[in-house]
Amino acid sequence: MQNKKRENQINKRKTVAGFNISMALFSILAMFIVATVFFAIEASTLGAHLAELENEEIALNKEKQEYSNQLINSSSLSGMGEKAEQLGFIKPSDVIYISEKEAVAKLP
Amino acid sequence: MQTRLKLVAAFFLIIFVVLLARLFFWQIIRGKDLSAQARDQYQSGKNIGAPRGNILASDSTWLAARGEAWLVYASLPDIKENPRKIADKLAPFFLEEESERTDVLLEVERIYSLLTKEEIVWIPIKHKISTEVKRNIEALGIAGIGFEQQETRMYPEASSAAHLLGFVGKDAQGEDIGYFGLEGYYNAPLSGKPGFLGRERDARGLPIGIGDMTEVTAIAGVDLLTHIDKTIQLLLDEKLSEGIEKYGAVGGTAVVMNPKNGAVLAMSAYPSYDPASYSDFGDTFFKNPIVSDSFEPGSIFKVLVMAAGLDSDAVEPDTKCEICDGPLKVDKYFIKTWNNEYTPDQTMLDVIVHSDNVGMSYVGQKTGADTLYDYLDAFGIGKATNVDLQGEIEPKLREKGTWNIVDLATTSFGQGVVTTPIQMVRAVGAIANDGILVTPQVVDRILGETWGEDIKPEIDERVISAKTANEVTAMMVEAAKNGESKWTHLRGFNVAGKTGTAQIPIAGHYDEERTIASFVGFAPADDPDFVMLITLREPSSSPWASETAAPLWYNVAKDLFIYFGIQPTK
Repeated sequence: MQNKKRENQINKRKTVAGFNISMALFSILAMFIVATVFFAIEASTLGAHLAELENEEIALNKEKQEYSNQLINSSSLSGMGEKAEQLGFIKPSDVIYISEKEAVAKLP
Repeated sequence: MQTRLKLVAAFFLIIFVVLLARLFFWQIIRGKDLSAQARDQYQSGKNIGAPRGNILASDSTWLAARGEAWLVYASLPDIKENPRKIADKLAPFFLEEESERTDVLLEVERIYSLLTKEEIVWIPIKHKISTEVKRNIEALGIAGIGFEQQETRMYPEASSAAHLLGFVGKDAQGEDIGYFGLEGYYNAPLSGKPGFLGRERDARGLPIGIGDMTEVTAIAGVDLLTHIDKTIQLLLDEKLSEGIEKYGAVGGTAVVMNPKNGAVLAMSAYPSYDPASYSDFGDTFFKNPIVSDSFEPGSIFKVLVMAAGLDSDAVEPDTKCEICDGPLKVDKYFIKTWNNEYTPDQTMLDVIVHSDNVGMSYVGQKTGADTLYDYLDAFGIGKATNVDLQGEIEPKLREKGTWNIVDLATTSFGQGVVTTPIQMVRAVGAIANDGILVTPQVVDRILGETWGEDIKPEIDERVISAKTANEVTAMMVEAAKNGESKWTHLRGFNVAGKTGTAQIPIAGHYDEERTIASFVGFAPADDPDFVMLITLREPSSSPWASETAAPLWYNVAKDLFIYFGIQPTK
């Protein structure tokens, strides 16, 4: 009788221990699954963000190129010369050098 | 029972063998293909182009800049419309506005033949179209027509300095490569190094953040900051073009250099071409005659020979010419003056002022062939100047010790000897620079993304003493004032100059009619800001330099005086 009681107690303990181990394994598995899902979502979001940043970079580079083109064209000296002519500026045809000693616009 | 068990075992064995065979087929035989297909599915890679460097003028504005262009391609499986209709729509965008009907029809045929090619999925239709044209084509919404970004070259000053810059063309592999001028000489540093980006992607094509990534960063090409002064360059282009037209020449060259450090401030040559549409021009247009063509310099060479005579103490400025009373017989030839007028007992100064061939033959005889050779060699005649431009030639001097008396006499007045315009500018620059030779240099500084490196001027050895340089300068000042081009001299300005009219050798003799007229000079003579050479090939209004190249030189110099702030001394 005593032996049977002890055997029951041992079995009960074994069941509890087995249950605890299963629970632990299940918890680890669950955590692993959750972590995998979490990281998969994170990686996917990160990828989308990376793609977004890349697109933004392409757009900015395009804009930069357009501004550069405008700057390059507007800094053209021959282009500026043409504009100056259109605005009525002309190149001096005859240059007169005045000696320092000669009075210039001398007041009476 | 035993038999049944054996049958089941045999069945499983057969299944096992079949599976093994199938596995072998997929894993071993098709393994490589399948893994490649899988890689294509989840891995993407693209080449990152290295942007080509810009070429900048001395004020850091652009002479040649990288720009954006597009490749138009067709993805043949995606094409929905009739290829003929697509060709009709696209052709007008790829031609000049004023193209003729036949050109349009030819272009339509070309595009149609590309679109109807068999066993091809992707085909390029047109390279390097502008962003504006791309937008217009996009607006048509043609399915199967796509665009890929390319790089192009922009020339804000159009064809100005075309020979100096060179152009960017294609090599045998279809890659961009620089040809001629700076683009050719500095092709490697301008090109940079392309990179690569490899990355794992998910089913939607988005990059996997934690996936494998291979990145080789592209190294951008460097920018070249040149000594080229845009104001002088445009002035030189304009005046040279006008001069060639005015004097009816078939071509011409002009170079402006700082004689103190060899900085090439401007360089122009005609006939020229547009580097943006180089394919419309023949190969003959691309060569820069300033570094790649040789010519007999004629009388501008006399200043070098006189410098050799004076520096070697063979003659003095006031030495009297003992043989200048008439034509000089050398072997079976008679050497005459350009105007057949002779001045007995004239000094060396007069010899230069009158540009007397007999007087120069006297200097040559007094100096001696070997000594003269040594001086010309020291002046850089017969060897490359090492200017940083592609395609420089080095026409050789006749070997030392092999000169006969005719060679010595003709070389003394600049015939029978060949140089390049850049060699002449450099040599006369040495006279302007107190006798010290410098190497002509176009690029002043190389600019990387985060660094810059100066290209130091190369100051070579002294060729002649400062005293000799001053004496020759004084002779050139007198020649400019009182020589045959005195009528065009700008009064009051301290210019040292010399005209040169050289006959062109054709089939073993000199052509009487065709000449190369040139004028080389520097100003202010006592402390020069620039040395300039102008040559005109076969001017038809007059064969003489004094009536063509000299007035053109002064026409340019007049504006340079204002630009440099050079004022008349009197």
